Amino acid sequence: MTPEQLHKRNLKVALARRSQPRSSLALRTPVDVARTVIATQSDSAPSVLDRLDRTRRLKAILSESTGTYDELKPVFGTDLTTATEQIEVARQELRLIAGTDTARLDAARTVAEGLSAVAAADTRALISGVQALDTALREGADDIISEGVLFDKAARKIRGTDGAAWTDAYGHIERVAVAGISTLGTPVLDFLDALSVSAGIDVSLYLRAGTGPRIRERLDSRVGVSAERDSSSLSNTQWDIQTPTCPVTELPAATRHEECRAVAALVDGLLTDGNTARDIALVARDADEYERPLTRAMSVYGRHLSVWSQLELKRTLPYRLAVTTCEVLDTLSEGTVDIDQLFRPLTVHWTPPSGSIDAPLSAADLSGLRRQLADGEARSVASWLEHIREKSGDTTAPIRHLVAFLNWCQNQPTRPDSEDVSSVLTPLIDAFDRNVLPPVVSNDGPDYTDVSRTARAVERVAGKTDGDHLIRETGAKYDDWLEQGSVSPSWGGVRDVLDALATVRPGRREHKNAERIDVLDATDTWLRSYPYVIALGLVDGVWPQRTHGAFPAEFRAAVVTGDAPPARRLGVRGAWTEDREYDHFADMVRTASDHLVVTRFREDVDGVSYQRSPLLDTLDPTLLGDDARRRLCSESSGVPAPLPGATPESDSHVGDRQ
Amino acid sequence: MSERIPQLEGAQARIREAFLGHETGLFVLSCTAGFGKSTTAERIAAEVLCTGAHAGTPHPEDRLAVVSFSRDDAASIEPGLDTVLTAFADETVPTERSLDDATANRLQRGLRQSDYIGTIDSVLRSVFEDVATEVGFDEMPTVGNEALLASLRRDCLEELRENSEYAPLFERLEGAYADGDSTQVDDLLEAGRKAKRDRRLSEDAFSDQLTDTVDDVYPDGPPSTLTEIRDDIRRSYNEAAADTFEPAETPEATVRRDQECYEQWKSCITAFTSLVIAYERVYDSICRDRGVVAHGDVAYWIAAFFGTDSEWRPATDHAIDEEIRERARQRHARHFDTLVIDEAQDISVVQHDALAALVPDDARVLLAGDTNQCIYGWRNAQPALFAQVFETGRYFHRDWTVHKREQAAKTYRMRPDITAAVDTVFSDVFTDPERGAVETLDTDYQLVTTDRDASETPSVQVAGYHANGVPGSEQWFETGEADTLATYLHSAIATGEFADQESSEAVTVLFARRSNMDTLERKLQDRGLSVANASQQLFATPLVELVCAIVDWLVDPFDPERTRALFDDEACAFLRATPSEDSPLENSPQETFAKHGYQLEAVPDENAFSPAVRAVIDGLRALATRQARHASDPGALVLEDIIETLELATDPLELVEDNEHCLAITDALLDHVGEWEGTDRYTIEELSAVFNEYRREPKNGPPVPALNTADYDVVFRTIYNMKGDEASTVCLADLSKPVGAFGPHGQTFIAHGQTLALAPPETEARIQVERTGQGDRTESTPLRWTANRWVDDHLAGAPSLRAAGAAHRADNWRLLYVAMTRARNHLVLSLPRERAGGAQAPRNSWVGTLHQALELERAPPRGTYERRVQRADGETTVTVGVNDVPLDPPTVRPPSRPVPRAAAPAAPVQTRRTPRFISGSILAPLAAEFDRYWLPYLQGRALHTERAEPDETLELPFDAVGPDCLGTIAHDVLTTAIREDVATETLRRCTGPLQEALGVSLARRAGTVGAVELEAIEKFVSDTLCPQFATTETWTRLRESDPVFIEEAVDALIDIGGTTIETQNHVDIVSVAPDGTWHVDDLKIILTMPDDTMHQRHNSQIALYVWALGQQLSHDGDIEGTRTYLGQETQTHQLPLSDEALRRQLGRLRSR
Repeated sequence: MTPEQLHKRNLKVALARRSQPRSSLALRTPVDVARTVIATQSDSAPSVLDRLDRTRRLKAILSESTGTYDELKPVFGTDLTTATEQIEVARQELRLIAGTDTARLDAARTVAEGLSAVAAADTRALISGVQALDTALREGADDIISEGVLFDKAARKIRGTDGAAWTDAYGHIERVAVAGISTLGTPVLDFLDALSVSAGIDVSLYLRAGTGPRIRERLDSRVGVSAERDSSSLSNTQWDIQTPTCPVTELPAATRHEECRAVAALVDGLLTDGNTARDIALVARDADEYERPLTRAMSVYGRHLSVWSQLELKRTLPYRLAVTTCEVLDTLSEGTVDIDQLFRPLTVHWTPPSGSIDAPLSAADLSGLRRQLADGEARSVASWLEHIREKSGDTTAPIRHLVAFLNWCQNQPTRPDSEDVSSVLTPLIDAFDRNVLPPVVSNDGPDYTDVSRTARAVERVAGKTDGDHLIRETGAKYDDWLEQGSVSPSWGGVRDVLDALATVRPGRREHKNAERIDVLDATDTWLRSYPYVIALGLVDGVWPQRTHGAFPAEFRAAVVTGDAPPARRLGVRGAWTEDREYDHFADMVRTASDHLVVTRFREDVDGVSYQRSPLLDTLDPTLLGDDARRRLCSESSGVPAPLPGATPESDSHVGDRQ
Repeated sequence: MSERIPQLEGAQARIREAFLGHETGLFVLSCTAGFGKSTTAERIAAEVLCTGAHAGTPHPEDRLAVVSFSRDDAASIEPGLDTVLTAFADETVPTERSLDDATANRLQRGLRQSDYIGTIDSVLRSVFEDVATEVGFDEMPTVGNEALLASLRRDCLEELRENSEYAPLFERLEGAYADGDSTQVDDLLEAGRKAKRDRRLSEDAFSDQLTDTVDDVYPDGPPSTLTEIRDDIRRSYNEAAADTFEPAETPEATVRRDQECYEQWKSCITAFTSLVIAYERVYDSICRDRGVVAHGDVAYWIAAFFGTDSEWRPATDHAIDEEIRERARQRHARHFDTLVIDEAQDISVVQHDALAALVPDDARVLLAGDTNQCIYGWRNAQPALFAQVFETGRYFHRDWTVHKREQAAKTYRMRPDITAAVDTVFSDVFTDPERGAVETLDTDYQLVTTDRDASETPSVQVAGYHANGVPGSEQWFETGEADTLATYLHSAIATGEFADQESSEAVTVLFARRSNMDTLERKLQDRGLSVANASQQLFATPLVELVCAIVDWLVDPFDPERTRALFDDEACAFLRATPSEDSPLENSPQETFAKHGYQLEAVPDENAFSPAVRAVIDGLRALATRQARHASDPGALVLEDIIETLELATDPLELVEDNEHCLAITDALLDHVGEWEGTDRYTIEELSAVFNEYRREPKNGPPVPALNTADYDVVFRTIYNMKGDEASTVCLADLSKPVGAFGPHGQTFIAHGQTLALAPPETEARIQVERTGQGDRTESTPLRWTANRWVDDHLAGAPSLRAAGAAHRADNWRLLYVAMTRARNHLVLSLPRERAGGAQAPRNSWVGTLHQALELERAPPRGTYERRVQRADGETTVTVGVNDVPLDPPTVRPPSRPVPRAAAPAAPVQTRRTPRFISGSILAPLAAEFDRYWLPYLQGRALHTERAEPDETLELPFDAVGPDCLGTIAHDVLTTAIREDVATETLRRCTGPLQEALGVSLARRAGTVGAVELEAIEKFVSDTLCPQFATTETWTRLRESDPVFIEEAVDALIDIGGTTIETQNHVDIVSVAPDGTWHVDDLKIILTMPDDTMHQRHNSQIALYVWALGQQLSHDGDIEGTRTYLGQETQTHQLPLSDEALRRQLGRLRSR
């Protein structure tokens, strides 16, 4: 079991690299396994609330139960409904550290007693208030409210059947390995403990360099010593970071942009030197933060990136098409629409789902139409058609396109049901796929950057393959919310659901072109190997990031430190400690086989200084000075020593030490 | 190893001892520039941590707040504390409590996590996050985005103007002050709102203060006689002025008009006050709606929410819960157990009050400051607060029982001669109530001692020029000062005049304002010197202005009016440039476009423009067609598109002086827009609106970051920008502007020091005390408003207005003090050789004062002279150099910095295309027609090749279910047969588990299709496919094989032209026959006879499977691949597989 989706992929790649068969290996996430255990017992897959539904229900509970949760107000403020997201984080944190077990919750309260008065009061209120909310959430829901509860339920099934529930689902499984974990939440731990004790399965935990020692040290305190549990049955192996086996170079730059330019120059140098894209990985704590400046820097060299990041759906044409169309339909259902709003779907390439028009309106045509028709008035469809007849002497192609759009709008239901979501919107995206994407292909550069992004967005919005598809999900969610009365039957309602779902971005993934340079989140380097790794942003506050959480900092610190026995009974959320940052760092360091380059910047755009990452204290890199970096980034120069790819002549430049 | 930390001594040591010796109290350190007050403050703060750790306090860093006023100062606090803690741990600096490495490290990590170390704005912002929803915001608002705030303010005022209640008041003010210009009144109201808020004045107090000023101007009320007017002149000017006063009209008319002025003035104040109050309410309301506030608002809301005065409680739609308020206060108060405020003289009233509400009574507070360095009076800094606390021990609205103070006049920065020069100037200025002795500590100026050694060469030098024109005018600088100064700096740099141990530092040239920077920059560059301007405003750079113009155009680039506006834009002069005489072109680009009615698509693109202009126009055309993309991209991406399409990083229009600077500008623009947008998205219209705000007022926007300044010969900075910093060589330029310039006499609304005043209506005749000079506001002598005129030994005017004038001038004198005290080794003053009176009299002029203080009239034309001065340790001499550099300096070669690759045009695309993943089913089509199938490959779709329609004899309707789905259903059933090891008869009849599997599969994959189609599929699978499979050799073999793997993942890595790609295969069946041979089987449901292409595709698929399986098995050669066709007919092919053919095919998986 690997909690991270990409860890599963990396494991597959590692096996392929070693030419090892996977026949004897079932790769699953812990959630999948718990779900299967329950499904096998109840003959149907359990339904688990997603985060969107959970926060909506929390909000409803908070707004309906006046006074019930007042103890949370000193922590979150007078209007608890505005703090629903934070309250949900607190709820998850409480479940993660203590689960639902009374003794653990008492331990958390005991930890709180040792804090300053205000932190103790805040913590007590959180534990009590969030606990009550959690109960209300469970009582009011037909579904399982969270993955934590799913684990609880699976553990109970296994314990209640003396392991038969496990055997029924996974009788063929001989042992379980849980790998790549930085956070071992209490519900998961309970579930694994049930496997170990009641199902008699050997469970091995493969821990990580930073978080591993604490998880290991607390295992006995957290699960309790049990007569049935062999102390070795929940065993673990821990990696410690080792001195890198390859040379390490540190490359500081003034700004993030300069840092990216240095990295781009280095990558270009490596590729020019005969390496392939697959020999190089760029790694950042959050690849997202580096996507734009790196892309810009690389394009100067005609090179391209494969950033393993989520698609920013809201910033894509297919999404904008769906949303702007909903907005026009919604406005029209109220009466009239102005020209600015009317033209928005056309601007993002609305084409009719059927008929002879097979190309979008050009920007010039739209501009011409606007000048011809704009008079500041908002109109109904009929009135727009009438206005067009009056204003336009001849029936030009742009006019026909606009009329087609108006007619199409007129033919759509004004109070859509859930079926309408797909039947109205999917054909629009299909038409986009048919009429717009091919020109994008022909207009795109040889690197197919636009095509890749737009094609991926088409798939995400209205794909035909298995996976998460926005319109399909929107239809289902809209149906649920209509039934609950939490959304009105309108295109505005559909738009809200689209918006809410598009915010929840699906998982990271690689670009399908193998000739692009991989840019990975550090956590995704787990089990990967590249000859050259360039790690960016080794800056305090960026990597490691600042710790954060919904519980008071004092409480978090007390739990993390674990000085008192009650604290050691509790789990630790990854974001509460910098140890998780070290996990990522250690994985990144291990990923490099030939040379590791670590880069950083010194100040941001506001002139605020940034310090060198303390994580670098564990390495002993050779420092590259500003002059050498400037030569690296210059028009003519090659790669200076001691960077990988440096020619022997460059040795004369060594010595730029700061 | 730790850095060297200086030992504390004298006042530094005493304040440390006092602070650490008390558990609670107020400690004030007032000290001169270069004293090391930041060092002292950091050292004390670090010791507090050390003591806390030793006492077992779990996280002592949580009980410490260290704040400073400016961002640069604040940025150095945390590194400073870090360094001291390391020094403690290394024992290179003694501390009362020892500190081990682990504890030091823990404290350092904790400090980096702290929200309470930084600027006062950033600390208050952290507090506000807890409070924002309590004071009516939906969530934490955006803080300090001036562009958003500017449009918000405009919208607020527009809303008020449309309100019938307020419209007459606007008319009143616009008539009285703005000659109908609404923007002037807008600016007045915003200034009023800000002054009221920053001073935390109630509505009544605000109104009273404005009225008090009128009463101060008319101490006896409106005059009844000319004699009473003369009395007022006597009070405001002097006896002589009163006696010689000649009214411009008859006495009666003069008196009547002055009475009217009084009445109208009060009436305007009433209107103004009403509008400011109404504006403030609307402003707060819209701030809440839009989620945006100014930094000052944050402090205001915190002070209001936590303050004890109920009058200040913010108006919200719910009552404030005392428990919530108290808990929030406690939550933050603990972080202020120890509070250190650096640059404390710059704190404003509202910031003071916000902190006062949070600091606990038993806190220990250290204030370190210097009223002589307060230069933010115009930003409502209140040095009087610091002066008061030093004298009285009252601060944060309480009298501190423990109040310890230290005053020090020692510098660790400046060389002795610089210190002496500073003393010589400011021992007069800061003791003169008409110059700097305003709102300062109630002590004489203390002569400063220095810790530095003297140098053999002069530390104080004068670049003496011959003045020309009006002091402070552009002409004065350009024709008199700039050349001499440029030559002086050129010569000094070329001859190593400033060279010493710190010679790698650039010479820092300080300006009070930016207006003449460009002139000097040009002249220095003409002499081969490289100049970095560290005070340039981003939105005032030609490059960014061009981008702004283009963004505005991109709102509708095909609208001829917008295109015309682009060509008319100031930033697009290159589009209006007339071709040179030797150019083959006849028209300017604008003329060419004008001929075509500014229709972008109508202008021919060949040979009508110069290459550079053509490249820009081609770029604009390309950008215009990307409207759809721009409608979905965030603003930062649109900007990137503009920058890349027009290759602006290469500076094609030569708008920026050097490549690195050009990159810094484009980087900064992208970063700022990205930061403003956050996770939101600016539409192009919104982006344009924001840009227009900043373009209108660049000073509200960000500066261009000055990077790598050590690479330049000279760095320009404003004095404000330099505050808190120091440099080896500092040159003060452009010093001749009179100190009274831009003073309150030119303003309609004054908020300075303790004075709030609105000018009398401009429509009312103002009595001029003197008849000459009328018409020039700086020279005019109004009786009822502030005058920039000396009378005897003081400024003319009523006491409150005079105080405002003096406070403004004091700010300017302090600015000179800050400028002079930045230098460590060399201070260069750009001064006129001639001493002049009038505007350059010492009381009016920096230049005059410096001239007098240095006795410059004794200076030789070139060389050095000595000035005797009084020092703290006795009288001494200062050697002053005057133009003491060669007149004919050696040529300076501009440094040869390599040209950044990013400043050159982008290389052609180098990235080819190779699939990262390959599976058996896509191998053949992708290898055969790579470009055709690349898009569906990217989309993860099946790569369908053309295939014939299904054979009609099969009688499959395929209304809803396609052939692929049918294949999947059949596959489910047939693999069940293998997995369950059913009897052949069971397979033939499709009974038992197969019938069940068929039902499940149909329900799962074709649950929604009609009954007829469903029945047809069911029949086809059970009656055709199952019996067919039962007859195959494959089935027979599989029944005998063991083990048998179904849907087996057989993956391997393949090298294609040096690029490693992954296979992602799911093989139908992998098995081991009794003879030990491994078999790979692929079952295909065919609905029409496959042609050669299809055969080849299937063969490739199995070849890849066999190859991949071969990688996993330890032996070679005995893997067989078999393709079994079912459906239209039954065929089993054991395939002859060629590794070479597979390799050939794999080799084609790459773009050509």
